[in-house]
Amino acid sequence: MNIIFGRYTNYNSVVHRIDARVKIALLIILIVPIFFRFRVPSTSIIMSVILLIVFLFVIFISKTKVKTILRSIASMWFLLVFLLIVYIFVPVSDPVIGVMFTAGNWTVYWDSLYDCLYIYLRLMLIICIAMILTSTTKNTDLTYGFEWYMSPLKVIKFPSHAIAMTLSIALRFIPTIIEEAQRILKAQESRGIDFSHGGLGKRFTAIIALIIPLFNSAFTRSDELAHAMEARGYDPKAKRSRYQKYPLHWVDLYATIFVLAVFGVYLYLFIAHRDMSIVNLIAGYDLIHW
Amino acid sequence: MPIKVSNLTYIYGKKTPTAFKALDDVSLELDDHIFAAIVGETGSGKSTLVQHFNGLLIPTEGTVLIDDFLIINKKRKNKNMRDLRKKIGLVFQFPEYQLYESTVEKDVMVGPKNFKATDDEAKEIAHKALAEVGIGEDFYERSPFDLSGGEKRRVAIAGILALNPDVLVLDEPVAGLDPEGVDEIMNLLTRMYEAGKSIILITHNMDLVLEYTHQVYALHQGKLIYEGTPKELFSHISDDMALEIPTLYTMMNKLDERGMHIDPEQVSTVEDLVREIMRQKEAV
Repeated sequence: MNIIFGRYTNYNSVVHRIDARVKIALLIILIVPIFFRFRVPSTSIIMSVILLIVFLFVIFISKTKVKTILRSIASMWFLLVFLLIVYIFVPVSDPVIGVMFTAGNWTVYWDSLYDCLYIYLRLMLIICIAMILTSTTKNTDLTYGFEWYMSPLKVIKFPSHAIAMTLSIALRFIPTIIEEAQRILKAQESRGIDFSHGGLGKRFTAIIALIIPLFNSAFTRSDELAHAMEARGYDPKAKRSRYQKYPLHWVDLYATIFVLAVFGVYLYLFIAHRDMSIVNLIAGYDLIHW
Repeated sequence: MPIKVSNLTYIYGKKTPTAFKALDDVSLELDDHIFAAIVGETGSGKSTLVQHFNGLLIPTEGTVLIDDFLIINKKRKNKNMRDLRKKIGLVFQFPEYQLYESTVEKDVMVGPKNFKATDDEAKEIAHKALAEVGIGEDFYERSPFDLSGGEKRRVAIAGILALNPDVLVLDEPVAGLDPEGVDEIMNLLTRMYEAGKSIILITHNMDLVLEYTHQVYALHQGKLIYEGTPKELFSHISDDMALEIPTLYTMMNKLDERGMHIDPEQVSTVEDLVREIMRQKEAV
């Protein structure tokens, strides 16, 4: 189990120093170009790869090990295979690229391969975004960021603080629950319950031996937490003050400029349909004959 | 069943930024039919060590040899680990978290059934194990989640006893129990020991180590720093071992300050101490 992936690590990098609110907004802006689908397939792929390089660059300057991320991405190859199988069996309505091969009445288009590769790429991009956010932002800051964005909703009596609190508790307990699960797993293995061998039915009954105790302890834990909070006089409706101030810095401005620049380029290319020339520019010759 | 640990090193999360060396070149030999304690402060590697005994953890370096089971860091997975788990029963800290069946009886039957016992056989074994931990018939049909803390723990221990292991390894079996519960568990372990099983106990409670166990192994920051008898350990205890001193030894030290010297060799229970004090008073 790779728990290191996406977990906050306390480095002092530029990315870490960006204000949580700004970071959330910027990453949402960066998600938009992921969904720009260019008219020419190769452009879409190339632009996604460029975006991936940009993200990996950001991950690199956040001092997170790019190698581990690449490995995690590569370890999801089964997803690619799965997508490929699905796409090959689903008929293509409007093939643009062409036929890969024909077997009897069954035609496989290059479009399937392209679609599947494109989806895989986009997934990786989204994972990178999530990864940048969670590995460079403290849980408390992250919650503060979400709460800040929800605060206008207070006008309509939306319980933004309660939701932010729920969120931070949920985030806080993820590692605890993972640890707990590993302990229960070992305890059950000691009783001879085999989680890694045997048929589907056997494994299913084995999983029950993990899930029930896990739920039991999670409920106990949340009950205890609720009691502890009440005992200390926690009131979700009370007016709260903050221990920390979150002033904006220059780094927030630089980051915004960087993101808007990337976003601007993608938006321009998308709207202006300059994809043909981009491909020509990168590939050096005219690839698009189809 | 003898357990031989040779140059055992274990690193959690190897090749990650959070790598942590829990055990560092530990070698020890546990004989047949022993009542031993493994002590050390939190994070000293006690739990990590015992998880090697039934193959839950595989050594990063070094080997663990139990009977003819060799646990070693090799690519090829040892398929016999399940048989090993039948011989070495490992009771985790707070074992009540492993309960999940709808009734006490069924929960204890899980172990034997996993080792191919029929329903009737499993039931019989379960009843025997429950009797051993002092859980009566009126509990059989109750849900394990409705029991008290001490009862849950005894049911969980019965779940391991039902495997009829040769060696019983317990991680903090008395943590969070009331004095009565502690006595019950320790008496149970003594009975099991007298019935021919090996008992290996992880504990922070030095009073128990002194009173019940015959051998003690002390770990400190992943290294084995002491092995021998409890009495020897407590008479040579030093601050850097990060171990507590048993109440009886604190008492004896206080008596010593006031001029009454008691030979620690003679004392392992409260009764012993009372007897020694009485003897000295009579001699005066």
